[in-house]
Amino acid sequence: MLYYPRPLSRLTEELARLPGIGPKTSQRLAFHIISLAREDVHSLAQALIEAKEKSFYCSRCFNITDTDPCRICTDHARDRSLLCVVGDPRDVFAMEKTREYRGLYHVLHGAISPMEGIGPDDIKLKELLARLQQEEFKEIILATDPTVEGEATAMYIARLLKPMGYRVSRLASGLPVGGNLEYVDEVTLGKALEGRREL
Amino acid sequence: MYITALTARSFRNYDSLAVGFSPGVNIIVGANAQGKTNLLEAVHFLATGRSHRAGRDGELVKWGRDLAFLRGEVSSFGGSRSIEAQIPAAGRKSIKVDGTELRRLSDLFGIFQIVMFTPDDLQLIKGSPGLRRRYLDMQICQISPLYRHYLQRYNQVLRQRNKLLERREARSLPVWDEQLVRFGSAVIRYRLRAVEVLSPFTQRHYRAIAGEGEEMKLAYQPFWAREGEGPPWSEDDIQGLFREEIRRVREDELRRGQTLVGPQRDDLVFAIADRPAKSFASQGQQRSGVLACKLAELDYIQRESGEYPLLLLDDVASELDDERRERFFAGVPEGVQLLLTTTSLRPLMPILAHGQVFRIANGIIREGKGG
Repeated sequence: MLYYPRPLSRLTEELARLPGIGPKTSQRLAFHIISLAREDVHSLAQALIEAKEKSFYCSRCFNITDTDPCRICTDHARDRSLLCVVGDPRDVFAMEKTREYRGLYHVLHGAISPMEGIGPDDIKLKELLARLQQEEFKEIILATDPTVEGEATAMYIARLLKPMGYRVSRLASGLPVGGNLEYVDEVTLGKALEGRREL
Repeated sequence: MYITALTARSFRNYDSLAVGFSPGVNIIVGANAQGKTNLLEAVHFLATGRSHRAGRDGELVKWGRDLAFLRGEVSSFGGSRSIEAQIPAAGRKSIKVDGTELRRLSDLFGIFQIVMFTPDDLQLIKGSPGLRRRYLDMQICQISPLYRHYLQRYNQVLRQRNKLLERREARSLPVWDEQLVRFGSAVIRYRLRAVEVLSPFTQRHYRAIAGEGEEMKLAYQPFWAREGEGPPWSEDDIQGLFREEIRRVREDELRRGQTLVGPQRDDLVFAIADRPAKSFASQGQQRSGVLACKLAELDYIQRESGEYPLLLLDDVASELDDERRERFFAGVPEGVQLLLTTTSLRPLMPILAHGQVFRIANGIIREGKGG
């Protein structure tokens, strides 16, 4: 890095701090950026600052938004009796892409993980419970990750909500659709085999 | 299944190494501290993605270098494959199979199966239960991706749950209990089945090594079972007993701040001549038992995967008397590739005279019997 002018090496270092970007990629990006037209670079810089300054969490569902409440929470065409609980804002976008789900969301921002010191009080769970007092949901779908921590989080929430009379469901796990069996990883296929159904 | 070629760079005491192996018997001779075990360690790494003895991958990198490199050419019924490993002195290792980097390290398991036998294994019967669980896990992991998944999940749940107990937080314990039972029962179910398959193999080999008239039996002993209490347990039985035990030890766990139930406390128990081998077996009986177990491991993998694994013997032959050594090698099935290290050729020559000999001195390997 010593061979580069200071501004260029600084840019490279900043880029390399981003997730998924190693030293080679950051160097390539930095060289690309300085080769751009001045207005393109300005527009990029502007976009970075704007994205940061104009994004915040929705005060109801805690998804990332630029209006409060967010567009999903204020969309009156949506089914207000159905709530999908996810771990991360990215999961909302994944669910939305299905175009199947028409209910509301609640983003927990994490999963219970004692090893990382994350307990039930460290995710947006109190906020979820408060929300249940104000809104009238019938069914809660727990769509946390199928990891050990996501499972524990779903189970923790289910144990709170079931006695309150909600219908609580969990996403099914299984084979991806539209692919060939031969490309499915062994664990997924093995679990699908264990969970097979009679026709 | 066998390894045809091994390349290593900046690995342990090797600067650069390239060696071709025979599909049969390969004998690696050298004085102590010349790099014999390092060679087997390299093969072990290519099969499992880890060392059988290093605590940290960085230890595998030659002193003063940044990166160790390993490549093995492996041949099986399914064709030839090339496995490559890059091990940095600090940072993440990467493993490629036929040029494609593996997303998960655990995907490596099962591509190249091995049985490793080191002098530490001679403690298998009398040593700590961890040694015996590892003996089972190593075999099952090599043939079942689902078992690896369950075991890995179980260990993760266990670590999380222990953290909670350490802090005496009883509130969210039940949600970890549920997963502990689910994954733990799956682990136990796989191990019970493995022992069922393994058992007749160990008996047959034990008779061949120790002579007729003396039997060795093995049984998997889950944490709730008392000695002699045996299967069959159904999946439902296992889950039910597991839950019961969790309830029983709850207070104790909170007091001691640690999980006290589960397959991490299971054992594999041996009986020789109808007596518990752990307390009553003679030194000779134990040795014969261990040899039978290692030979049975070959049969187990062959039966479950259709192919014999590669057998790695690290300086074990010298630990055995002439008769046991001879019987052990007689028990290795035809067609199994053998890589063994020894400080002296003489005791092996009568039995393995047809073997390919390599000499190692100071991290340099040469082929041939002379010198």
